[in-house]
Amino acid sequence: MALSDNDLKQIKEILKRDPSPVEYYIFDAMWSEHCSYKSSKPILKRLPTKAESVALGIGEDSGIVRFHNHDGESYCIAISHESHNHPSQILPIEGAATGVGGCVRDVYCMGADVIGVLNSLHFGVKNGSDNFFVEEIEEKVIQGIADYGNPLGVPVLGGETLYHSSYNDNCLVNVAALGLIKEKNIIHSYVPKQAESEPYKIILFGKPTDSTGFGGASFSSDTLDEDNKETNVGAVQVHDPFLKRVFVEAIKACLTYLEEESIEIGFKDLGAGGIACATSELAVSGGFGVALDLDKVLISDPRLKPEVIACSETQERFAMAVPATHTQAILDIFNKQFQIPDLHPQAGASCIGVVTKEKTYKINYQSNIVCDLDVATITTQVHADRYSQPRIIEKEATINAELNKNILLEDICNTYLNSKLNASKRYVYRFFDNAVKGNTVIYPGEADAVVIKPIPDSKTGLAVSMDSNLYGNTDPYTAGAYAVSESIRNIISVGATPLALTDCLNYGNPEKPTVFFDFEQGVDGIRDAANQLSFHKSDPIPIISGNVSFYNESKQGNAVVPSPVICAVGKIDDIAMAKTSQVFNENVTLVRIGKRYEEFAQTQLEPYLSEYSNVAPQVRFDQEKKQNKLVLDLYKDNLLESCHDISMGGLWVSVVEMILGERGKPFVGLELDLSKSTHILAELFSENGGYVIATYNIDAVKQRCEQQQIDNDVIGNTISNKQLRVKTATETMQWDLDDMSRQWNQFNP
Amino acid sequence: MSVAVIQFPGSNCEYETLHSLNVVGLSADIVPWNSDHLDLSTYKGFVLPGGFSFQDRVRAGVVSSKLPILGFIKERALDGYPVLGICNGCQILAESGILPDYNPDISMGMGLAPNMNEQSYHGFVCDWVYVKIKNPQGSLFTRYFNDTDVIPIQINHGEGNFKFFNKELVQTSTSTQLIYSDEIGDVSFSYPTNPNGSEFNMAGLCNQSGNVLAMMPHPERGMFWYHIPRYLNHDLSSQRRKGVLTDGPWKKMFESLRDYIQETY
Amino acid sequence: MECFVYQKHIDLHAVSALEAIHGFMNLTHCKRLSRFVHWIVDVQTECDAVDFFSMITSKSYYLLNPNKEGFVTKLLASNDQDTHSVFVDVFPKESLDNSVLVEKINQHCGTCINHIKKHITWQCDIDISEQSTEFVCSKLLPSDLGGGILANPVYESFCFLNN
Repeated sequence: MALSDNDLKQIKEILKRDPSPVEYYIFDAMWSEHCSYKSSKPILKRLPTKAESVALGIGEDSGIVRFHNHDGESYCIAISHESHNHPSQILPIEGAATGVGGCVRDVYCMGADVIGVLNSLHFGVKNGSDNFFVEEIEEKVIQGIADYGNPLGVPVLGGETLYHSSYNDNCLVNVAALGLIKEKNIIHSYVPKQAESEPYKIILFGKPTDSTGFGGASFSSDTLDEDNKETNVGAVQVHDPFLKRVFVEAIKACLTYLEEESIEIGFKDLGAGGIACATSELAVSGGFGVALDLDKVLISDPRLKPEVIACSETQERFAMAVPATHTQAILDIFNKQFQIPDLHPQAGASCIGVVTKEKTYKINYQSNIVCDLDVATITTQVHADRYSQPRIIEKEATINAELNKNILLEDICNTYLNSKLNASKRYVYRFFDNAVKGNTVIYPGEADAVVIKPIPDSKTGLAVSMDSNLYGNTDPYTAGAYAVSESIRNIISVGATPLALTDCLNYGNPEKPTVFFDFEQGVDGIRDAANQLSFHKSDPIPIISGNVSFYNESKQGNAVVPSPVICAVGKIDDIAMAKTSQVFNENVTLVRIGKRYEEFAQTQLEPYLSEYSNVAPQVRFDQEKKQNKLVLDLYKDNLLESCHDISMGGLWVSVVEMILGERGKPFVGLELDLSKSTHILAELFSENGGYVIATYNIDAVKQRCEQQQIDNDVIGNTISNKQLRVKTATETMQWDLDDMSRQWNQFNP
Repeated sequence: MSVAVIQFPGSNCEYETLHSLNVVGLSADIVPWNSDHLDLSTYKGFVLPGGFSFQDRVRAGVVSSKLPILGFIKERALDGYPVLGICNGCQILAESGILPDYNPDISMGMGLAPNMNEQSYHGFVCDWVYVKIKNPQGSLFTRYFNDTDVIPIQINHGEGNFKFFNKELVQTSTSTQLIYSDEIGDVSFSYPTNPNGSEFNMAGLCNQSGNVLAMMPHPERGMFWYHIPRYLNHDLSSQRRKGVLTDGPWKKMFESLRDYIQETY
Repeated sequence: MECFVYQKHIDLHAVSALEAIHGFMNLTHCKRLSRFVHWIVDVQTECDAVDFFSMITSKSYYLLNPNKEGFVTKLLASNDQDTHSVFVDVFPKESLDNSVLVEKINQHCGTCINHIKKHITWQCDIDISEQSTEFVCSKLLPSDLGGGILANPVYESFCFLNN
């Protein structure tokens, strides 16, 4: 039960009576943090969401950005970005799977075809025998994502896996789903105006409604708690990607029929709050009311209580508002053409109610009215007052960083290679189909971003990336700004221009002022980066979709590292231009682009330092923007052989990856000459944004950098010998690439 | 003269398979699993695409293999029409007993077991591997390849581990087989050259008359130049990096099917 | 020591298998079908089976996740007078190395498990009590006439269990 005494009092004041059980659960769902954004809304208004390129901004199930005009059609990309953290902690397989399932539904119901998903996974770190479930949760979250995405036939287009002990009791599972849609075919999540002049009915289709996920909307807003696990359990939903796959085909048939008949509809997926939330939002946002007949809902068990039927979060369901004259045709597509009732007991489509001009929300069940609300009461804006408690955050490094005594540079280099944060993640993504649909051009792991070719007969590519970082405990503003800047670097790195961003903001308990401060700062960081890294003269890189997940902490009070996760999409005019990270040939020169700073707080170097300023890697927007522009210019003039961004792990990890490649199968060796570098720690390990590029034409690259006043240095050349040699002012280190390759692949089967 | 791509509940590679057929100039339709046999009778070839028909429940392919449409396809296969099963389609052909046909007395000669690495379950694998083709001339699908070719291809399956009822018959058979190899064509029976524990490194095989091919890897994902990853240590990848690769290696398979249908019907 | 794990809500494997048996194979004598994951654990312990498996599931989800699954240590035939329960145990022909799983459970739960085997047990409720086992044998399991649905003849074996 999530409704507080105060909430209940407020509800009684609004209704001037006690709510019925069904009404109680409707308010419970609608007023939950998950649905109402009651803590976050005022802060989220700071984000730049508008731009000329936005076809559909925030407010419906997905945001949509214009992508490319081809053959007289405006092709757009629809994106939904969601978290499923708490459910994944309790039932990792089902939680992660339904996380993917819910997110793709948001995209399908815009009329789009889902062309890929990305996931950002944050897992705990096992220490000793303490955390039984940390490893198991990692294994099973990965299995859950594979169990859903693979059968659904949607490729996983990358993402990230991070490890930190703050996630031990609360993993993060963030998913973004991307869809392709022609602008003229966008379907809205509300009943169309047409319903004023002709009767519209509500069709529900999908899995039969059952009790799974009942109270799910309240669930993700309660802090996880050992003792409460049993009671939380019924809240998790059960996925069925197979049925979803069949529904996706049936939806296609429906939409084709509706397009041929030129019929306007409203279409929405069922998520938190089930039938009640979806149908009320469908009607209310169109300016209508609804009268539902719960007896018409296909259910799995006749004993279900009306409030369960109305509010359960059973997966794989959609609601559609269609003209009464066409309801039978639509029902037949599901029930007869695709024989859905034969594929799953009680599954299928049924007509469950009518759209009314009277602005009320009524539900009938066994001849009783079990819900009778004014639309205005449902849409009452709930607001929770939250306070933030600022703290001082250092922004400028003033102390020269010093290593702990007796630590050798070479040892640090080796520890980096042995860290799960840096090693190959093939052990994660080998479970995910990355090429179903046949559009994949640059595969996950090959480059900073994945590239697909979504439009048949067009050589235009879509680049995608999803990123976050672990800087939030020291500098929550930078956590947001850096996530944006990194995701944009990743897009640039394959030669694409950024189009749009989405965010998923994972924080602790917003009732705690220190946590709320972190949240505010993260949003400000995202806002500034989205505004300042745009190449457009007046528009930001628009944020077209997003989600907030609070209460990511355990009862012990360990909030997770503030974790804003950003998904970026970009456009590349010709997929043939895209390059990857690995260097394949000898005698190629490597150049580091972007200045290094001794900003080591929360970086992987921090544990080895005895003295340093408490400053996390800052994002310098003007420098970053110039660097990004430079890389795109180098692409344009065909001066690049390979390109890789510098982020977590610094230049050291970047060059190792460029030599080893995705598989740890090097084609050439590398001689790095850093002997001129006066700050070798910063040179190798600084995580400030930048790039390492490989070129045959160093003079031309140098000239560009100087013209545009971009800090750069030639750092080395590839050699035929399969070795990595690093020369500093004081020493020479050397690795055999076979050994390095074994380290890189050490967690892979 | 067109080809039917059978859409089972849960198929998910039907559209790119259709596209591959269309690109080489074959007309093709996606035909649902519950279609009337009469509707199917005009087709000159049949493709069972990849996916998870019936969610791999019980085990991959078994529920689909019991459908009436499989009885029809079996008849067509015996009549000599081209039948291609890719991934889940391969599993369905195995469960239906259509392949292999080394010994007509054995009703079910092979099965696709869960992927193994040594003696342990290995789970789902998405990866690029290499195959060689034994007796490519023996099948209408592979006749444009050479037996020296080492061809990159993607696998995406959790149950692709070929097990045979009678190993000797497989070993002595001369009919066409696709065999996992490494990038230079060596056939080592250990992981990762053999990605899933298949007996004889089997990746796919044909019936004796060469008109039915069942393969676990995905030829439709090796159709176009951009399908071949830049990072492989293979001549095709090197060509892609130089910007001179024009087609994927598996286009030939679909072209061969097209030519066969045009020659024959 | 052994246990049989069942799905608390719905077992889609069993639903699909029964649909195939009824719809596509036209075998209506099989009235119900249930599926259990059958764990056979070789372990030195003084606990009884119920306590032992309860202890493991309180510390790891490797054998079952109590949030969605339950277990019994003995199979129970159907109460329905009109049907007769036949239990078929299906297992791979090749022996599997489960040492990684054993190691994980021992590490997490402080147990001394030597070996673990995982089988699948099907409970088929047949409405012809006389030849119910013969029915399952000839129609649902692989035979010379063709592959049955419950086991693959090439890489799986099976046996009947007495409840």
